[in-house]
Amino acid sequence: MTALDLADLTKSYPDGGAPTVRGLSLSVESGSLTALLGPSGSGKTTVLKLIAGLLTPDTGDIRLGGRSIRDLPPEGRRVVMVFQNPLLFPHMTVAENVGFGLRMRDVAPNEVAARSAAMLEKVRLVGLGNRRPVELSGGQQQRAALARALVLEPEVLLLDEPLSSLDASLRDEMRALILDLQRETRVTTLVVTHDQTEAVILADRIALMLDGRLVQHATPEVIYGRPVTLAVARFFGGVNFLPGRAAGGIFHTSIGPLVLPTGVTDGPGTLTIRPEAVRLGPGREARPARLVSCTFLGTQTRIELDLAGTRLQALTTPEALRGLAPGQEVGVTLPTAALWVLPEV
Amino acid sequence: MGETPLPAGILIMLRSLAAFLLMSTAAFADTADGEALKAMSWDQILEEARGDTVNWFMWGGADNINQYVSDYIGGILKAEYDITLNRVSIADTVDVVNIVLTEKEAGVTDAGTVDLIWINGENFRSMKQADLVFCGYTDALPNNALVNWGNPAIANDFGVPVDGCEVPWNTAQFAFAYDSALVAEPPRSMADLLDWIKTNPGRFTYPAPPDFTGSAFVRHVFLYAAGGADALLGLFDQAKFDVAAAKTWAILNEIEPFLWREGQTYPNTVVQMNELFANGEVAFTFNYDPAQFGLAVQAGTYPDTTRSFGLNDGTIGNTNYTLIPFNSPNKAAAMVVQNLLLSGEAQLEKAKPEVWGAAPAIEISRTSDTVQAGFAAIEGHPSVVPAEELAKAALPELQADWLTAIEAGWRASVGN
Amino acid sequence: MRGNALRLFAGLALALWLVLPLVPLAIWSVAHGWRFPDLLPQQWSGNAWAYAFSPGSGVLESLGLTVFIATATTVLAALVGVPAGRALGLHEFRGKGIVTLILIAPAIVPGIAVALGLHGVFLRLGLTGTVGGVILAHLIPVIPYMTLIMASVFSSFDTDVEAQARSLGARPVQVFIHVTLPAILPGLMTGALFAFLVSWSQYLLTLSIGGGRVQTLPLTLFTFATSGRNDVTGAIAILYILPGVLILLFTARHLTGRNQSLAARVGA
Repeated sequence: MTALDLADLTKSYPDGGAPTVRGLSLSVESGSLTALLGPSGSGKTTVLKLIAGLLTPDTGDIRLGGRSIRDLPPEGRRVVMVFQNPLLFPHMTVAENVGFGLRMRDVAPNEVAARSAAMLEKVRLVGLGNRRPVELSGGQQQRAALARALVLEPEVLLLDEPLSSLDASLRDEMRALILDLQRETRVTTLVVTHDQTEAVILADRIALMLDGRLVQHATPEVIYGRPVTLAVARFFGGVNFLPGRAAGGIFHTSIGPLVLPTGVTDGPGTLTIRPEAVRLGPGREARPARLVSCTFLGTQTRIELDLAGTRLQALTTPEALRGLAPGQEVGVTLPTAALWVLPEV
Repeated sequence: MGETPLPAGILIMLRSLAAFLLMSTAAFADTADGEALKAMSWDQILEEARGDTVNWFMWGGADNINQYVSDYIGGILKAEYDITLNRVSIADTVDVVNIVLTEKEAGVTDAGTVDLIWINGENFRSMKQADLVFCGYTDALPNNALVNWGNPAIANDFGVPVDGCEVPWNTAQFAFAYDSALVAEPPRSMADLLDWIKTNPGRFTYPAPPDFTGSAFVRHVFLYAAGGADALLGLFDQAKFDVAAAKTWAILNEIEPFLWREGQTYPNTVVQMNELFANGEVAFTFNYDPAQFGLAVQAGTYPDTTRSFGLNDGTIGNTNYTLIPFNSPNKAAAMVVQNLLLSGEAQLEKAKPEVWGAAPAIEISRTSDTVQAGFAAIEGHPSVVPAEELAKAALPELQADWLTAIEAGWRASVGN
Repeated sequence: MRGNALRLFAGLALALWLVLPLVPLAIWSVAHGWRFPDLLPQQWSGNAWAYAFSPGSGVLESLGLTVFIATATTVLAALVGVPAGRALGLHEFRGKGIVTLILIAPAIVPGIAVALGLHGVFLRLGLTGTVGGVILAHLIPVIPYMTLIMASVFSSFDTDVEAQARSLGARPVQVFIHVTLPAILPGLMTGALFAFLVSWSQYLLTLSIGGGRVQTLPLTLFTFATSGRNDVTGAIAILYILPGVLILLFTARHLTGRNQSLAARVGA
């Protein structure tokens, strides 16, 4: 069931530049966790503010459960946005911060207290309710901010870069907390991030934004394996691009013809394969290549290969490379299932 | 966000300011038309004045005078005439002259701020010259009959004819004060005073003209140097002035080294001189209004042993007045106030030393028997030389042009 | 420990610095004459205070009027200064430098020039001699202070916190009351203190625009001070200074209160 529906949203800022958000349409399933992914400046935060009602779209509509909320004020939307910085109100205690939204809605004081306390427990801030925000660590503040939003039981939770202000060690903890709470509450969640790894780990689906436009909305696996454009492929760490032409299920490139999976239309295009899909060693389909360089990355090794003058990158395990040194010849297999052709050159 | 609350806030603020502006716009005039008043009977004027408020601007530096005006005069006005008296304290009467002057320049002819002024000669002259005064109505005041307009010291204010433009309030005559505990036998004439100064170095000073009181002291020396006032009455005469002035500057320069701080500096105001006297730094102070000595003793400022005296060669007498500006919107009520001030009862009240001790501006013989008896019963303050005694040797006030010339000459020849 | 001792010392020094000048005034106000070179008056009297509190003297009326004018001036200045300071502090716009200069101008141009120029305008508007006119005149030196203080407060204010509150369900009025106001309160109190004291101490503008009819305490005080009545002057001066000292002490506590409690908590 569709919970949140963005239809052809456009938003320009008064400085007269190009629109920050251009014709964006996106449907989010109820109870899902969607990552709104894109490089900085791609308009992600603007989309969140449009949904939250903190900005008004120039054109387009925003529907929640099928009903337009475009003209409702932020406080009337049942959508809560959590900013990148925790933005706890400094003159209130942590518990007062968490109860803020309930108090603004004139919920009875004892109910506010009970729900705030329960929420503080869920975000593991028990016993810190009477502290001031400045007395909390960065991670604790972020959790309090999350609690302050979740206590309102919103239909849609909007998180703007929830992990970016945290140290690496705290990031995992916070990520796990977000996932746990989302699973528990089944609140439809939209997380803005610029980090594709984070998006992949967190989200059921990724909505990728580039230059104010939505370019792909799919599961992480699909976006990885079958990016719709070169730009998407590059954003997700694609490095192997072989220009050529498809004809009758065969793709002709500088390294020779390659058998394609079914369903590729004939014509010019670019063939891509993820580096981790490139296999080394002898085999029926193996092509001769020269090992150019190896870079040890810890659990993996990145190697550069030369196939008759065309360079390819591969990720492999240190074990698979045992006995091999740069300059030596090696067999390389490009599995048909891992090939993907983009209709651009 | 940020874009909506800002204009709304400014709008609300502008609206409230506009409301304030409208609220505080001055009330409309009711008895601003003086000519219409002159055609009315006194009863009609009393009727017109009912319910009005009179803004009386007056020097407010003496609590006794303030209380007499606010409590005694204000009380009668409220109870008997339904008039509210608003006493406006000012530090210098020239401020009020400026208010009326700017109002005239701005074309405010019937809604002025000021209804009544307690005024002295110099300010009267400037107001009369600038046509800022309501004139020609004084005969309409019933108590005007108590005033002896035949007396030139009342019919002229600093040599300027009064012409029905102001109403006398107090008479005063210049007198000196000393502490009888310190000075056994004070000098009684100008010649003796000048000798005393020379034999008692550092014990005398006078405020630098144009201070009102300091200027008056210099005029006394001027009259002494000229051999009396008779030759100097009337219009200014440069030749006569030059002769007397040369002698005056010689006398003042001669005593200068014997003055307080060896004449290096003079007090700027009479208040500073009074303070020096109060602290015993100088042996004398002087004032146009000897009642001030009694008030200062009552306030504890001067020692109880303060006594005062005139000079055998005479001291300058002077009358002070109240005046209605041309653009007063409450002329009828202001006239009622002036009439009350002239009444025998009110003049008697302020003549009491514990109230003020000011000498009356009316002829006591023209008042009721009760009032006359009241005046007779007044026991003067021991520090205040009785008006009758001063009156035995009185000098007339010179015309304003003489005054200006003397003040300018002093600055050039003595106080440089 | 050392911090406490230091604070105590600073407090005492402040109190002394505030109170010492009042001592001669207080003595004068109950003296029946105090002549040089006596260390203390030879005779005492309650006359000056009796006069100051008597209805005919108008001193209490003056005090009330001065409080009213200063309060109204402060409130109006806040109504202008908060939005104006917000615009100046948060937004960059063309001509901001000129706007700032115009705002500061009344504070640096000599008061006498402002008073003279203003008098003619107010006279034509029928505002001279009215309390409203005097309040408007006081706003001229007061609004710049208020606006500039608020501008500096807002320049370090993150408006996202307001957006966050909106998103959490607060209406604009609730945002202002529960989020913006507490955040700007220390600055607003400083601005209000300035505004109140600037209005409280106005002499020239009040005299010129009020034309003597709006008799605030500084005018009454000046009348007595220039006539040499040190006893009455002393009594009025104490009445005149007291509210300022009280406000200052109250505000000083309020302004530093947050930091102190924080320091205490962090220390504990």
